Amino acid sequence: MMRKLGFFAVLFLLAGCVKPTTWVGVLTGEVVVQERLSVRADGVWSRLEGLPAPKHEIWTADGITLDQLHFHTGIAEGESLVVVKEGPAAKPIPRFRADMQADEVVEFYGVFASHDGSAFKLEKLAPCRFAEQNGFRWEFSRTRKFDDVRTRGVGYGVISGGQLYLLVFEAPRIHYFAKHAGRVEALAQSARLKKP
Amino acid sequence: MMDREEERLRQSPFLVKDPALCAYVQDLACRLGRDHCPDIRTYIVRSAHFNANMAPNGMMQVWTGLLLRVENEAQLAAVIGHEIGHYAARHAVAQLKSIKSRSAFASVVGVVPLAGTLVGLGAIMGQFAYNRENERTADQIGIELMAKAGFPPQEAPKVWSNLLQELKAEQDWTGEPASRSVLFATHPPEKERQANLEARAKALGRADQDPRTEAYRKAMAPWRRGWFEDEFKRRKFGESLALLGRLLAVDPLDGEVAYFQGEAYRLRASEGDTQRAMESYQKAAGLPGVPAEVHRALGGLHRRAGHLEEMRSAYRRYLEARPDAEDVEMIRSYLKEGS
Repeated sequence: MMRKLGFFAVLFLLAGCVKPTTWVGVLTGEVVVQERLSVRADGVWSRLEGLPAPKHEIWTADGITLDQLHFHTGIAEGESLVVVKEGPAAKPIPRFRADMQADEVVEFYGVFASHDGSAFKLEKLAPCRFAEQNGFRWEFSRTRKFDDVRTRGVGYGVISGGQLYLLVFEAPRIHYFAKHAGRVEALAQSARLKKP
Repeated sequence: MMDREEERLRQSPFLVKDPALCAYVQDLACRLGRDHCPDIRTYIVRSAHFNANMAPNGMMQVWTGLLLRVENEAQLAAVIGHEIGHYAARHAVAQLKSIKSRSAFASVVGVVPLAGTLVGLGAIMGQFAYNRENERTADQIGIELMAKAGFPPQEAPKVWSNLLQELKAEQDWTGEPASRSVLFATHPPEKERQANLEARAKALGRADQDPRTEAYRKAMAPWRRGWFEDEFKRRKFGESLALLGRLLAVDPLDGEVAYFQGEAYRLRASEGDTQRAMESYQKAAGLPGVPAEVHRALGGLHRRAGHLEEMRSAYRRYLEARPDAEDVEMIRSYLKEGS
């Protein structure tokens, strides 16, 4: 399980939040993610059900080692991207601050993407409309430590009402990133915030 | 088995392949190993932890977290000499023979092809956990090898006292026992080790030998920045700040270290750290060797404080120095704020 899910799963395990998960198909059309973000899906995605994280959802098209689409919805001040079990060990895990700039949010994301020794590199960061608001878009590359695979990624983010919303896609740079990049771009363009 | 893993290591994306840096470390290993030189093959591995190890086939790994931490060639020689000590005394071979459960070892090796290079090598090298007597012997051989190679043996115990200082700083910061160092997991108590090495160094003399601090700094200079960035991803800010403080004590005018001290405070984000970060950045900005990113960092702090003029000035300096920066469009959008 840990190898299949990658870095986020490792953190969930560290946080002591393990329960069975299953993949279910995502229907075509408007889909509401964690009741906070709606997107228009095109029918190729599967969603991981049973993640012990109320503000995080993972989708994949070809399988989790081949592509991953992460949604983080409504991360509030003091919260992290993963479920953190409070205690001394949780202290070094970075927390979101509502006054973070775009570069700090990307840096915040990069901590999780490289926490296991994987190499994360920001390639580009620019302002971008996301979820009908002024947000940002970034591109990155990563070399995964657990299997040495080189990946590419693209992320969209916005801080709205003091809460962070992210949509991040990552896939091996050979074939799989390009295969789904256009589809992810369209998905990101369709994103809308939902009132809690 | 080790040959197969060495071949995988050669293909690893985490292997540092710079010819000059590789030659520097390999030459040092050869000067220490002397007759063993033809058998030693050093590999520099990008990993932020302090570690080095040597397999029984002569494959030696030196991790970048070690290169970041030692202060001179003599201290690196102490660690490499220690690993050659294990190799010369054939500790790994003896350990392999003594493994009672061959099937357990085979199961570890069997898993390795499925894992990334470093994960697999970690699993295998974990099987060669030496006993304390092995470690004492390796320390003894190592310090003598470095003395014979012309280094002051007094630098060997400093490696351990510096690490102890870092671990204590981390413990003071987090309140957690200092138990996470990869190298310390299998080694004798550090204080005992430090004391033994100090006694041996005293007996060997040669304190007036050159530790080759400048040569070491020159060889590491092109790489150190990336290693600091890797270091911060460990989120061990107690250790990182102790390391940075130690490096600044050696050279208070090192702009790169002063900048990363500011980064460590900013990332730690504890009470008072914003002000500490600001002071470190401002000091760094006037020092030689400071990265252009110091101006971006200052711009960010000024922006958060609402000091728009200072923000613009800092961001403009950053863009002048890095017109092709990966975040240039984002910075330009900040420059438009309030205008």
